[in-house]
Amino acid sequence: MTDDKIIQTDHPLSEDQKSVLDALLNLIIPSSGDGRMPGAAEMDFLGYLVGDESGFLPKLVQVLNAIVDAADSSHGKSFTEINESDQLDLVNSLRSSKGELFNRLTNQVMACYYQDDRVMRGLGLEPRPPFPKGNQVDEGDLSLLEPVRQRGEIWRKV
Amino acid sequence: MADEIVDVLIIGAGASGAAAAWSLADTGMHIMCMEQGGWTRQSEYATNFRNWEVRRGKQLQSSPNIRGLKTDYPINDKESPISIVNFNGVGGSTVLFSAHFPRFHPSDFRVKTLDGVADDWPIDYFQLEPYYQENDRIIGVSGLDGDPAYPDKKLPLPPIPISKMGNVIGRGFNKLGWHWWPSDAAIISQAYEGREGCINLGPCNSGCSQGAKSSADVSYWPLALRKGVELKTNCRVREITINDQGMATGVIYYDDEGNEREQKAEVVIVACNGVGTPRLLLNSRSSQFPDGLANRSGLVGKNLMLHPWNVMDGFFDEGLESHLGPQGSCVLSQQFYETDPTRDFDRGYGIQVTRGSPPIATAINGYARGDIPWGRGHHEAFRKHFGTNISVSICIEDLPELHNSVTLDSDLTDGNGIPAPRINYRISENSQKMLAHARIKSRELLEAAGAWKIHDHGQIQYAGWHLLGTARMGTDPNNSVVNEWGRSHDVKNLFIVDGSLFVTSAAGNPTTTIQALALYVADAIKKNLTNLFD
Repeated sequence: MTDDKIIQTDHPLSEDQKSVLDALLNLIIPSSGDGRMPGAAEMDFLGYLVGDESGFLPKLVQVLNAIVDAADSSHGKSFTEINESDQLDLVNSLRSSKGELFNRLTNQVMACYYQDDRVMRGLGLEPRPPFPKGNQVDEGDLSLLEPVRQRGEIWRKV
Repeated sequence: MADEIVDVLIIGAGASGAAAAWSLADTGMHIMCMEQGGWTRQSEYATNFRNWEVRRGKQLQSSPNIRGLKTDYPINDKESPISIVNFNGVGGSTVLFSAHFPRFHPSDFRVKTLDGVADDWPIDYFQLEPYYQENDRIIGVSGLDGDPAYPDKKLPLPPIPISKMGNVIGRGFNKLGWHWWPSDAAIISQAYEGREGCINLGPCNSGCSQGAKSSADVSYWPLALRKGVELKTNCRVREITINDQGMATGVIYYDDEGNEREQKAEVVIVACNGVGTPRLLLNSRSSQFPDGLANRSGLVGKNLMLHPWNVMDGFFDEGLESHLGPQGSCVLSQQFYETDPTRDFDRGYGIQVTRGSPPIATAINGYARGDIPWGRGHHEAFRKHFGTNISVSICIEDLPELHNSVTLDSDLTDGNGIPAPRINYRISENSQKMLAHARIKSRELLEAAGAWKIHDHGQIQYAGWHLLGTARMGTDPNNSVVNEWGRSHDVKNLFIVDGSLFVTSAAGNPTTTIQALALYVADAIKKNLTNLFD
């Protein structure tokens, strides 16, 4: 599969590529199982890329194509048809040979995931910008400075 | 065509130019300031937006080479392990600084006398002290009185909360018997002089949406403009002109449309920071000054000091909410600030304890370190690393060395064709030994505080905020660029007020000292108005 198979529309991936992407995203960040944290495949990752990081789309297609090709050559099947353990082995093998590409993908997935409203709520955070509401922080205990005061002046006299 | 002649022309509207403009406005003279950038708007800073973490990585990047705005000039820093970071606009680099605001110590002005290294300053701490106080008042410095690492000082506002993480690291310091204290911060901890107090947005170094960080655009500039100072933005000065008598006559600059223009002035004050100032002087060549204006000493651009910086993170079991609060200001320690003859290096370093990372940075950095994996272990690993880290930064005193320099690049230019600065800088053997010592002590501190995991980021590349020493002050014209009150030895109506003046760098963030110096030089100009050019 080659890079020219990218479909340049609002939905920049083919359905097959989208299926592979969903499987990959769930390998990167699966749901937590207790219902608190969604999986990365539940995010609108493509929407995030199209809106904020469109320059990464060709790289994403490279990743997906490499996965499809590797699944075909090693298993004779589509990536989505092999079991999760084999999917992970296959992707880890690719990560060792295409480390930078997969690291960049991971960073994009993290950036998309950790600004999603459901994820924020799962972490106990309000899904909002910091301004104008701001944040409350504990004042801290300034009585802990007593030993420092007791040791007295330490500045060097001139 | 030349515009009307002004009494005083200040080049640069950052920390020092703003302070000098505000002070000199008392004279009633026509004060003009030219700034190559424009105003930034609080409503555009990243923390106004839901995707603020992604935005802050793109918007207002601290490296001018990455940011690449029209108002920036490129900097060739390939020959430096520390990359230059700055901001060009009203407020200068204070727009993006972290607002950690420690003063110098009395000993910092006497390192030759005390320790036999570098040079003494031509002024001392106590001469500068009233200007520190004045600057504290205008800025609205927050902090806790009584720090035993300093002579007495009274700060206008109570400290920024040290929070739970301050308690944890404070206990660590106490266990070791080391000095620590809440940081002095250029952040108003409560409403002050018409501005609302800090609401703990977090990333002060992405611009403060609240306006509680006292960057020069929200602290000095409104006051200076009210006093009648004229501020011309988007004007880039190419060179300072002189007459046959060797006096500065004004500048040639480019306006926002790229038109070459001239501005005449009776007095010229340079406030472009430790890289921009030597760049401008070196580019102002003439038959009288073939090596650059005010450079008969040959020291313009020499002795560049950058403060090598090390960062180490510790992770703790308890939830510290360390991702909240003003990122750069929590507590500091000056336990290792002074020379100790039992160590293998001269001078010392400051410890700046800063806050933790927000969610995306936690995830990306944790993945890069191998701490937060893909797959089923992801959520548990993230939980252990989020809001639980304390960052220990080290600022070492960088001593002046002639070979560390700013020159003009022979090829690279800015958008107006003005030669870009070129940085040649090496971290000295003394500094390397200091960094090695500081790493050991940082680890010792985090262990004493109870960290279950420690990660040493090492010496940080994009940490060249503190640009110092490239037009230093002194009484000997052969060994300094300006005299003891900031006037060029060679050009009697040319003054410098920025970090270029520094003789030595001390071991802490320099902005309060830069601004105190600017106020001191401005005051000297006011006191000497009748014989200013003698």
